Amino acid sequence: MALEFRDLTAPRWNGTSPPHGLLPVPPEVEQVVAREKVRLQPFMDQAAEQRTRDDLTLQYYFEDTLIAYRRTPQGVEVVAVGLDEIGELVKKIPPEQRPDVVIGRP
Amino acid sequence: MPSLKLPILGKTLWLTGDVLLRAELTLLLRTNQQTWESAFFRVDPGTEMTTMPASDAKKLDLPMPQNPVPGLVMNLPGGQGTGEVRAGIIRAQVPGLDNTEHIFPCYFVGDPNQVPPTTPKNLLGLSGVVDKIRITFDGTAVPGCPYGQMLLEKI
Repeated sequence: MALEFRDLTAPRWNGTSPPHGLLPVPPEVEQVVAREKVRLQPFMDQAAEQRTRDDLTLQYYFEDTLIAYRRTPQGVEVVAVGLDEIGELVKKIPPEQRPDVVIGRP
Repeated sequence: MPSLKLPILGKTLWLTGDVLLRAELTLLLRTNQQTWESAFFRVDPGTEMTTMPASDAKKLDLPMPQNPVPGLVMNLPGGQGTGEVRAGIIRAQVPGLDNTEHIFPCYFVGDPNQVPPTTPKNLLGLSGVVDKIRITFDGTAVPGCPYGQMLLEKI
């Protein structure tokens, strides 16, 4: 099976209730993105930069948490968090009305 | 032959500065209602069988065997795992590849009615997959894919 390593010192969100909607990009994430842009030139184009920012933002807020989200040009939008909310989402909104929503654990 | 290239993803550890690579793939999974749900899978050549938490499969309303296989457990790093394993299948399309509905064998792990104590991810293993889709990893950096690409080809 896949072995994963988790950096317990990585900055992460520690609020009380998980955020929904468009996720604000934490300053720590922007710092990493800026560093990676320099390190990975000339291969880090706009799409790769956006993907890196979105992935790090998801990890910051929701690492190993089951969520439903969509990627938008403005960033990551979270529509459901946890098994119960995702169960409700699946029951109430048919898939064709949420075509870009993906479910998984970042 | 339909093919799809996806970027290999990288995560830099704050602690060591190491870049950890992974490959992920979104699959459309057919539900009991004959609708399609999107779920992403970690592509893992080290995994013998595609796996998915049974609790996630239940919430997504995926078809799944009612009963676990007696005596079947999953080996985990550091020891033998405990818990239930249901041997089933997933009916899946690979968005961006073509509209073929593949049938992949899948083990649904854990209790469908309980959130797993650990946080397993969906894993796409080799069995019943690589005879249908050729998966190649190429670490050559190209614009937009600084860590290289994963190539999927329908066989």
